[in-house]
Amino acid sequence: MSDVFALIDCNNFFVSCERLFRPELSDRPVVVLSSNDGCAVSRSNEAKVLGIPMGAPAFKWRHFFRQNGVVQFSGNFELYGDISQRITRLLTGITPRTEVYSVDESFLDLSRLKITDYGAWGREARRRILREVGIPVSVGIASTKTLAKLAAEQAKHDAGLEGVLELVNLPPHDREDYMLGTPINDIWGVGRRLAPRLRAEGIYNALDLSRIRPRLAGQLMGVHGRQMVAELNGVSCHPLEPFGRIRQTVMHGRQFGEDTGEPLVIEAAIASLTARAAARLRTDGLLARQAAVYLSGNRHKPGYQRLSRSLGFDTPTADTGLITGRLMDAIGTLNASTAFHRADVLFFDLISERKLQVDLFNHLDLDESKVSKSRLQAVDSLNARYGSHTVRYAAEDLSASWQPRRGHRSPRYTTAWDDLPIAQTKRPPLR
Amino acid sequence: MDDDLQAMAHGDGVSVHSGFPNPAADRQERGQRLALDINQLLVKHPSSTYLFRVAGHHFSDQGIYDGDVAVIDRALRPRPADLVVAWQTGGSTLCRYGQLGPEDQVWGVVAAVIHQYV
Repeated sequence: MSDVFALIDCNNFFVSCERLFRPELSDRPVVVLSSNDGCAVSRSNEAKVLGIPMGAPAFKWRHFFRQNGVVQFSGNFELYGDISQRITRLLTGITPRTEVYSVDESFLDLSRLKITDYGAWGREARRRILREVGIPVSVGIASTKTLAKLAAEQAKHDAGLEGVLELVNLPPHDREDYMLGTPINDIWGVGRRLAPRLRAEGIYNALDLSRIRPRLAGQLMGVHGRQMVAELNGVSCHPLEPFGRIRQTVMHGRQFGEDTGEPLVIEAAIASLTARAAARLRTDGLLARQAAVYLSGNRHKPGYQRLSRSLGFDTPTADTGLITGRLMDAIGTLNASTAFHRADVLFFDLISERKLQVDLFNHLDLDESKVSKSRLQAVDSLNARYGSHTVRYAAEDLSASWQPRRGHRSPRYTTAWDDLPIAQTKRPPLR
Repeated sequence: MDDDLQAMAHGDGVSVHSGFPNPAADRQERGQRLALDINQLLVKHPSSTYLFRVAGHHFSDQGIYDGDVAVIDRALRPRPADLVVAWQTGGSTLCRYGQLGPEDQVWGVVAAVIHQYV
């Protein structure tokens, strides 16, 4: 049985979610901004044509947006999360062998489905997601994940393909045309650092890369590179991971409403970020062995400064109170004259709770960790039921300058009863 | 039913008691709730079902009131007499599919309308 993978990739996902409830924006340039209205994180095709780059800082482009009629949205991440879950649900109904790769991409293992025409299958999947959930997607189908990703990328940009490209049953010279048309930096796993090194070796596109000797691939890129070359030649090295990859880090960060050096505001921010990251650990059944905190100034302003501190825990933990306290201690006294722009909290060196129980059974003071855990579970469940800030730690203050700026956020159409979209009744025709 | 019979034939999940066996024991053990879930009745296709708030009085004579919640299923194919949410210039409207003009876009079919008295 040979491998067949499909990649389902949502087009301009956040923008598409906004357009679902604002169809009149379907041909307007639209951008979605990151949290706190920092920079463009999703752009409609019209916005891309206008030359707005990914990550364009909103404050620099404000004038341009206004002049060109660009519609901007603050991130409505609850909406995007819900729509993403709907797509996953639909795909899981097609085959349980589905790997949610990111919020807008999923791999499917098609090898066990009885499909004769992969192109027709892809067009039907695309049609169903567009019609039933309301989101346009691109579909790539091939014998490896790397090729499926390449096919989806081609399907997205080549209008003639109507959103679907399958490479499984394509004649070899046609497949090579698509590989020739895929620049090196568009290949899955080729990052910003690797691309120039490959170009220096005369490797400009996927076809070039597929033809290099395994030895050279190894020299240039290690095991990772040998696998990449194998995958481009149709030999699958990355199997489907239906349960997702094991999380290596948890990170939460936010920009301040305005730059600040006020220790109380910064403390509140760190406490709140820690609370969220720790809740994430607990939902995933993970504990952190190390944590770090970063405070940084505004890169676009003079006098850019950065402060970072990291620390380790003797006993791995997901306890908000404990971690917040240790991070505060690590930061020490702040000089109020240094203005910071954003704060990030990172947990790394993670271990699964279950593994820890086996590893440390004899060393842990089980009673104490049980108490701490049940207290935290109570906090999490109250917050889940009554909204995310019902129960907080003392320092987790929601002072105004810490609250994110979300001036252009759309209603939470699918996640808040008060924000449901409106259907205006229309007078029936007179008989 | 077939599954139950099969399970009994193989002795799966059937415990030996002197009293009448609890036919729901299996579901209880798996942590599933026994009571009816109203979502089963109203939401046939969770991935394609969205909720809208009804505004206006034009359908009051047909039992649809201002403030009701309309359950919209995008997976259903509209027939002429169906109620739909459609996109017309100026916003989303609730109307009969047959009322629509060629320019209007159907957003989804009304599968149910919920009216709360309290």
